[in-house]
Amino acid sequence: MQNYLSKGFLVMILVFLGGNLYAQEKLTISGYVKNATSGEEQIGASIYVKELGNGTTTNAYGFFSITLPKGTYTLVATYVGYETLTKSVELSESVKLNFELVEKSNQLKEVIVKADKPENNIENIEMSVNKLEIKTIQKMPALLGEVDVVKSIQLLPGVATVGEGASGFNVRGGAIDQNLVLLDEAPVYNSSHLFGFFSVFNPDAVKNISLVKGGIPAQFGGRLSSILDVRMKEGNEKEFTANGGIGLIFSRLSIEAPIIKDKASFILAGRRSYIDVLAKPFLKRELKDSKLHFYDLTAKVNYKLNENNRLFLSGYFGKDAFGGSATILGFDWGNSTATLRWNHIFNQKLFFNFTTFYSKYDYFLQNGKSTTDGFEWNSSIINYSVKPEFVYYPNPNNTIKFGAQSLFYNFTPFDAKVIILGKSSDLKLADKFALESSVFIENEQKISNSLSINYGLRYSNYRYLGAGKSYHFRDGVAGERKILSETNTYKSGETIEQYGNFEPRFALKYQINENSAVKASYNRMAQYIHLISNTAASLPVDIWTPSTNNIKPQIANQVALGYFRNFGKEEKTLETSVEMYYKKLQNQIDYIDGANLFLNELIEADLMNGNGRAYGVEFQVKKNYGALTGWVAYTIARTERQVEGINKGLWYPTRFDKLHNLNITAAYQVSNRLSFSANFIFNSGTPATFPTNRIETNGWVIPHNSEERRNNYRIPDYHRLDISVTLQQKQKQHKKWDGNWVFSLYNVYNRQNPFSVFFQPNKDNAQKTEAINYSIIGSIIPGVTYNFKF
Amino acid sequence: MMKIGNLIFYFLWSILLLLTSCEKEIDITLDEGKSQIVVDAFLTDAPSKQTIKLTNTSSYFKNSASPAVLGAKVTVTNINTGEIFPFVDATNTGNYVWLPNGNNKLAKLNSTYALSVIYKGDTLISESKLNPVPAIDSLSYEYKEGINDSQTGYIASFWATDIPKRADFYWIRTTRNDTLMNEPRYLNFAWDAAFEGWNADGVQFFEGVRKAITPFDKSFKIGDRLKVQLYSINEKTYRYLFQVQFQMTNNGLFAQPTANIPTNITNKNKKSANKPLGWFLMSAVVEKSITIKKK
Repeated sequence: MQNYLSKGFLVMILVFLGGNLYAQEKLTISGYVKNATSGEEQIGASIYVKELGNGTTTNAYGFFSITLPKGTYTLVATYVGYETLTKSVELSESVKLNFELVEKSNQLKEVIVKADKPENNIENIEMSVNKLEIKTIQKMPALLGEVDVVKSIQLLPGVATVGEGASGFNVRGGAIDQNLVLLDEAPVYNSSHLFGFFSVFNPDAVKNISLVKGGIPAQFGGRLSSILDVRMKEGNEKEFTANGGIGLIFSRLSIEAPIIKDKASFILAGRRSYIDVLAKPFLKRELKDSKLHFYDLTAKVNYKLNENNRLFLSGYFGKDAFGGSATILGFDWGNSTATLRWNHIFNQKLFFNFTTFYSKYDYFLQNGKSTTDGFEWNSSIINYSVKPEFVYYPNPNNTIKFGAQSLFYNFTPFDAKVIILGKSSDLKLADKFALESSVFIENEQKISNSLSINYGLRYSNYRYLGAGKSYHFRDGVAGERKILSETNTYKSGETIEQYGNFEPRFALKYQINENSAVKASYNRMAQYIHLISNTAASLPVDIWTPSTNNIKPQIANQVALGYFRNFGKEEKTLETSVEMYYKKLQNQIDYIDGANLFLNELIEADLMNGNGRAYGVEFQVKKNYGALTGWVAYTIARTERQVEGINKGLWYPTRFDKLHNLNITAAYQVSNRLSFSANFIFNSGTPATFPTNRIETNGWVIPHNSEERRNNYRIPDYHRLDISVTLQQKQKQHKKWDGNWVFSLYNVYNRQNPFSVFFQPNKDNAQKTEAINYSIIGSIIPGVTYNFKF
Repeated sequence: MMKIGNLIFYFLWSILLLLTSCEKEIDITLDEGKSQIVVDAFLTDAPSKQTIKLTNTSSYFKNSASPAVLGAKVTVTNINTGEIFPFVDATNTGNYVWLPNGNNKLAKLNSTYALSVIYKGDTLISESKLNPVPAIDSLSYEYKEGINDSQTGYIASFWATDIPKRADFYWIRTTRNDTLMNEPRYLNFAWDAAFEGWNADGVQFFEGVRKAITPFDKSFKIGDRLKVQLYSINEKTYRYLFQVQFQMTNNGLFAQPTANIPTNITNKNKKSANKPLGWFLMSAVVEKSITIKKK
């Protein structure tokens, strides 16, 4: 099957390339769009050909190519927040042309939300995509004044979280493991620091972020619900610059500089928290020597070998460490990633990128003394991948992307050691291996000035590999632990189980007029790895597990329809959009009551399979220009599951189902030196299972639901207001130093938002029962940060 | 395993959220569900009064004892010997009692017992095997500074060795100054000498079990009288206790979805709409006592 497919794929490529041979009278203009001061390539900048009334945008490496008949043309390069640059070209032979855009200097005009051109959301075929520039994120009020990528994403339409302190985020009713979080193309398996209070991305090293929630192009695969593509800065190739900040929780510093001017540059960024230092006065006796910190280091180097070849090497390393010496407790977790990329321009119309990466997530947990009594365990997921990709620009109306990827996984579910009275024994669950391969091709085609389509196909193949065992279970009662009937052993490299999926993708844009467009999309996604998590919020100890003969790949089908309309011109533009989506999910993992997910060789016996569905409407109004900027996002949505053995087999709302989700974020620039910003968040309470009755046994009053319902109630609504003030330091003449103070208040009106509601007997009278509202953050949290740049 | 994990998280969490997290009682109106019969039958081989309590579930916020079930016929039968032990509600309180005659015991090691409750035309049944329990060799204690005053004091341990070459399950219960530490957060149970998946067969009890006779938030003080009881249980009861603990303590971020506690009582008439709840367990029990003295 796969063989057959790859042959077909080859033929397709040849047909496209062959087509090229007959287009000889046409000539190509190609090049890069860059930031004039730092040399950073601009992703998604537009190049507009006036005479043609048509144009293109730069790819993820800032490259563009446009093929035109002989003639004289005016090319206009635009990128939000930058001065427009116009170049005239007399096209008599193919040329290379770079655009260096100058940042707009007037702060009042500074744009906070990236839009390529005022009309870009109308012209672009993309839907269900949110792009954020780091500048936008930096203006939002943040917990303890610390700018955070993942927290800012949670303010976008269609994105939710189960509560404060929870890792990850939920996109359009998807679980947190259904987001492919990429840092320079390497997947990050746990994007959180300090449980879920902060994310691993150092804002100083991030260039831009895009979240794709629907109409996911064939280029991406492996997760059901979204792609969070975080691209790191390349590093200033013109001069040395440094960015940093000092805050209550952590400090950060990044430096970037050319290694060889205009040829090679680097960026190095680090952060370290010092909560443990600050908390020290509060920590007494046994907690005195507690360890409680995190750090991360992000680095990137790029080198232009010549005009047609460029290398990028980027890496991330971060760790969270908790512990106390008195109690002999240790808990740490972290990610590391390394990505090597090679850009090669075969010819002006064919751009090639080869990526290879390594990604690892692991954690270590230890308790007690290794000489007497204790235990320690670690768990990890390691990933290696190669990924060649081509972008082919045959003519201004077609952009074809094709490529392949191969991902090798090594899972270490548990490698544990137990010591009882000095005698230690090793408890290790065998490593698991898997190989995920895929090929894709897609074409973005302009059919007319108003109609564009993007169609593509991805085929993914997954193999669960030996050395390993396959477990087979007897048919049993749904909702109860399955009973083992047979075990088969496989040698190293043998295929234990395999799956293949065709994943068609389609998107369409019909532009009604200059200011409005209708867009529609369909995508089918397959996901072969799963995060095993049965707690209210995902935790660092949750383990990733491959699909096996029992755990089937997750599949999602999503359709989305959107209407986009802009009001006003240029500086006054108000972007509005309405998007509807419906998503059907198969093979969603759930757990039997009392499932044992740790140190359990037969974990598959405790897992169940179910269906999911999610649907909703997202409204957004965005103002990108002027003194007042920001957006209002409102989502009305449902997300439900149906699993035999839970809730009597009936559909029930998931833990992250929120009917109403309103986010308002606004920034107001008072003067060049002073700005205010605010967030307001309102979410419907999340579903929870409440009891109907009490069972009295053994002196306990145990809550009981006589209908065996799941998530039959909702905890109280969540709402919160945050504000912040940014005060720019007076700029001294000729001094490079640029500093600002950010003062913030989180949870301004001191609401004790519920994370959960639980039931318990009164401490003094066990007969009396009570419902307790549990808040993770139950007070106003002030913050102050000083940021600097030189 | 999870138990230890929870304690660690509890610890981490308490540092992390030292100043911000909070709990407050709220008013909630709950639907009342159908009432179901609850069989509370935790019996031991101790030569003393054994009680099976029958109640009906009542609404969760009723805030008074559940209504007693009167007029049931309750027996426990030793399946191996055929011996029948009647349990009688002499006081009309729903407490069905068996009293030893002289020094005889209800239970014999390795026998399997069948519970039968006949009530309003339904026969409710369950079975439990009496597993052996090792002797407690000794109790010890040591002084330790804790996070606060309540946690500063004496940490006691019990010393015993798991029965080798078989899967054993234990429930360790502490009585402090004549008060049974029965709160779900203090539940202390073991799979062999440690936890599920630990391969701790035939060894002395692991520290996390041994020391858990001391309430983690309330160390012993001088003069405290301490009684430790070691009950033999079974795998199902181990999981049952696990669920009781999980469902009845606030685990914050680490909470698992709320689910009903399992039951091992069934209605003989599978088609009956009356689904019983509760638990039946036969345990062998040993105990040891000590008074904390200044060393």
